[in-house]
Amino acid sequence: MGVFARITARKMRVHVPQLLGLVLLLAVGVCFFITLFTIMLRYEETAEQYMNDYAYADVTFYGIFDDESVRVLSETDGVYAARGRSVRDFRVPEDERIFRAVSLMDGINLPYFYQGRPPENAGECILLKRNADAMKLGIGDTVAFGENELVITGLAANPEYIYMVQNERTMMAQQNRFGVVYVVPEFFAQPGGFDYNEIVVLLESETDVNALAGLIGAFRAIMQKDQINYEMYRNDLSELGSFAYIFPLVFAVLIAVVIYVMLTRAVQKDRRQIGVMKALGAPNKKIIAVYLLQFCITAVMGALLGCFAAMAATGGIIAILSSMFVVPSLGFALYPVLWVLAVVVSVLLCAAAGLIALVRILPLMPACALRPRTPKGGRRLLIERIGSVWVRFSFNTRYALKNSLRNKSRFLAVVLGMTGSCALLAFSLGFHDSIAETQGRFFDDFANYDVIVSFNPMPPELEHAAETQACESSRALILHVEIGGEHYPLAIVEDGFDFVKIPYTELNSGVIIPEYFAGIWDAGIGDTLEINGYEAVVSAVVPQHVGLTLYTSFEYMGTVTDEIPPVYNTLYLRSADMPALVDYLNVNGMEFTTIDDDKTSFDSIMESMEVLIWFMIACSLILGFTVLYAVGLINLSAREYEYMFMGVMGYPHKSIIAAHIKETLVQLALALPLGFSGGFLLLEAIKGEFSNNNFVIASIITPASNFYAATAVAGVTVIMAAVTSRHVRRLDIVEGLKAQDDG
Amino acid sequence: MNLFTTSNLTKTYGEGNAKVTALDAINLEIPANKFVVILGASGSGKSTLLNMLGCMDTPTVGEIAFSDINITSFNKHKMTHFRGENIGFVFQSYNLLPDLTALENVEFSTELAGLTRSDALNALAAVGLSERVNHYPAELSGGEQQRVSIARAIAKNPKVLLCDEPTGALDYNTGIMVLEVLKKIHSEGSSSVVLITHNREIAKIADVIITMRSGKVQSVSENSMPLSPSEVTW
Ligand SMILES: Nc1ncnc2c1ncn2[C@@H]1O[C@H](COP(=O)(O)OP(=O)(O)OP(=O)(O)O)[C@@H](O)[C@H]1O
Ligand SMILES: [Mg+2]
Repeated sequence: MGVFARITARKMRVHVPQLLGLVLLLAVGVCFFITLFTIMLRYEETAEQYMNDYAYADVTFYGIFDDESVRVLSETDGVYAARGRSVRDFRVPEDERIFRAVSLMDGINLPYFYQGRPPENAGECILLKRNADAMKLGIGDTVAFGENELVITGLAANPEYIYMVQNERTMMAQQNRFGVVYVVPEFFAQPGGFDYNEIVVLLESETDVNALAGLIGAFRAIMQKDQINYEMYRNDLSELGSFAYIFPLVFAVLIAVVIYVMLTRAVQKDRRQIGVMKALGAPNKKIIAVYLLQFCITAVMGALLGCFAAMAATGGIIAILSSMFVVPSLGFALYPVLWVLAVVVSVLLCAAAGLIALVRILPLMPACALRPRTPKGGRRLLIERIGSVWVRFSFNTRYALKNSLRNKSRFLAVVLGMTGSCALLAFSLGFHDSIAETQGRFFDDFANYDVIVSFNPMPPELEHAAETQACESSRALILHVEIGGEHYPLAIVEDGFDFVKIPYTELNSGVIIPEYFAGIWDAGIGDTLEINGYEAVVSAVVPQHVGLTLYTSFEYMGTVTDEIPPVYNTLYLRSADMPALVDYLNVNGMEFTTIDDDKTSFDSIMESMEVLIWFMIACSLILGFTVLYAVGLINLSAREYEYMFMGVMGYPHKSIIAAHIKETLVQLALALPLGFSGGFLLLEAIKGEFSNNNFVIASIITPASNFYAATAVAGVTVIMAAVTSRHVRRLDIVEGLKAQDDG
Repeated sequence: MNLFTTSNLTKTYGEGNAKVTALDAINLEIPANKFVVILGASGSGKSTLLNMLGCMDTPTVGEIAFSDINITSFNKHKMTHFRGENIGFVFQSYNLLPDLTALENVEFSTELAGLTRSDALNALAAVGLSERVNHYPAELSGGEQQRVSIARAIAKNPKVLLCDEPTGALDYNTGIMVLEVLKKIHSEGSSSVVLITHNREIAKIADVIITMRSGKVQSVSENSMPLSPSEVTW
């Protein structure tokens, strides 16, 4: 081993505690990134493969169809295969469960079997395995459908149910309340009725889906990319991706600061040694190597540790996430590229931070480096010049203040460490708050209905059976209209509609649009929107968070076009006797959702997010602790001499610690408000990733969350203060004064 | 040929009121293969001159030629290379690297020069320290540290040995011992020695004595009868 290697090794030995702190920081950052990124990559690969292998439909048409429509579609250019199927929801009145029966087809939306076999007659079915697990059902058990009972013959998954999407509002139904079974087509056979209510299609090439819909008289066509199931999948991918970056980025900044402070300190202390090495003819690159190598070694160790930790964490987190999405064969896989990336980025980061610290001393001529450092012109601190204020402070306070202002970089490093961990904690907690807030805004401030019933369009002279059963009801025609090439739901409501809280008076003067769409379209009140080719005026912009919909009235639509038929396909209901109403709707086989369904869907979103939130909170705490610990240690070693000198002068231990604590309080006072704002900024930054045409998150951090974040940071600070106190008490005065001579 | 030739060599520090002229237009010729002593009061500019000669610092104005190479035209990289190849330094405050043992401190120098461990051991033997090679600087006395520092300077066979008050921090007996080592190295080897002191007695061991005062060279005199270190007292 050459002398330079030996110098490096011996210098590392001195820095072991700080380097360990760095290793931990790097490991946590890398672990976070690799875990989430691996999951993201795995999820994407497996899910794409799964959707391909199990022939996830490219388009689904809704309407009333028969075999002729299927045949017409099959023979159209660009269509690879078309299958008709029936889908119907059944409520199980006793336990509030809903089962959706879907007819099985060959070639499209194939089930993935975990166990068992396909149904062979109308008395058998296969159940999604996630439902079977949640409802504690198995092969051989039965599921009730009205009068019929179906025997479960298999447990499966299906690419159209990666997420338990019940409908547009219930995007994540609880698996023990909403189940999906696949049945043979004969199950739906009924004399004289329609054959199918859906046609699923695999496309061969780009095809005009609207034209296809016209061909068979479908009233709605949804492309795969617009299906909520698929949208949620794409959304989760991008969320995982952005989370994978946020934490490590904050970590990276703090790691860079810690290294910079450490190295600046080490280099200043070794100024003379560096001068000697230069005088003896050591080239700069060898000197740089001595100081950078220790950080590079640390970086490699930290990154590798993080990689191994990620290996352990990934499987577990995938298992937990599987309650949100089900993709069979999704599991851990190693991505060596990510490991290499993590190691390279860590090393570059550490080396860069170190280099910045080194460039200040390296250009010095050796003669200059061998002389003691010129102090910065004996400047007086600003506060010292404001004499009258200054003299009023106790010596102790003056000492604390002077320290804070003198050692700016160290002081700021501590502040930054506190800010960073406070921000991440506030962000993590605020993320939870935001989902709750979104829920509140939807259920308390927006939704004003008990039940929404959907059906095929009906002329106004016909009364829908459900209208008679509710206390209050209102009719609406919900259309999926095209705006700027995308489809959005537009609810055309009748006079006196008050089932969602919007400015009703604006219904007759234009279209009320959600804030989120206003942002996307860059449209405001008075602007014109092109809806299905008609020009309509925006009359109001309202905040909406779930199931975003445009609202207008029949009256206004009449002024825009005469092509909208006066039919209705939706009923908004309020009822004093909900159980009776639900019962009635059930018995009559109507398609409906209650506000409670929507609430439970929300609850399951919250549940699945909780895992991620805890993971983030744990990481923030580790981050906070490590940064404060590492910076605290540096602070201590820098101050040792000063503290010892004060000890020699007979200054009591208590007062030294008091000065230290005052300094820390100043740091906390600066860091916490910054941390709160930082957390909110992070939240705002990822808000976009969490919003789509169905769900817009309302970013908010409650005072309670800020309080918890502040308490945690303060707690870690107190622990660090205790460590400092112990350390100061144990300082060996003689040893210390001697050691100072080398420096 | 001269070892060093300086022309109009000037070094000033600071600006305005705080301006100090440490070296004032010095024209000096230092002969090769001699034991040269630079004598002068504190603050007369001795160290500044030595630093310039050793390529440790750059002059404000003027030039230095080493043999016939203009070393003031060097960039930093060349300066470093030049120091490593030609100059051995001995400092008043030893300046050993505290993280390395005596042997390793010497090896620092030999490694840079592409020499081996045995060269380092020979140098330590030459200063009479074969017994203490594995001790850290903190475990050696001042005299021993200074001898390690000399071993470090001579191990790579430099053309010039530059010593800035090598005895300044040592007691009389130890000081004499260090001077004897330097003298021995000079007589046995091929190195020129330039030694700084403010002590007139020590100057008596030199072949050439240069006296400085307020940044100027006052005199350059040949000493036809240099004493051996054991003959001087102070
Ligand atoms: N970095 C510097 N900045 C300002 N002035 C300096 C600097 N270095 C040296 N000087 C000044 O230059 C002059 C010469 O300094 P130098 O160190 O060469 O003296 P010296 O002869 O070696 O003295 P001593 O015997 O005390 O070591 C002194 O007046 C000194 O104050
Ligand atoms: Mg000097």
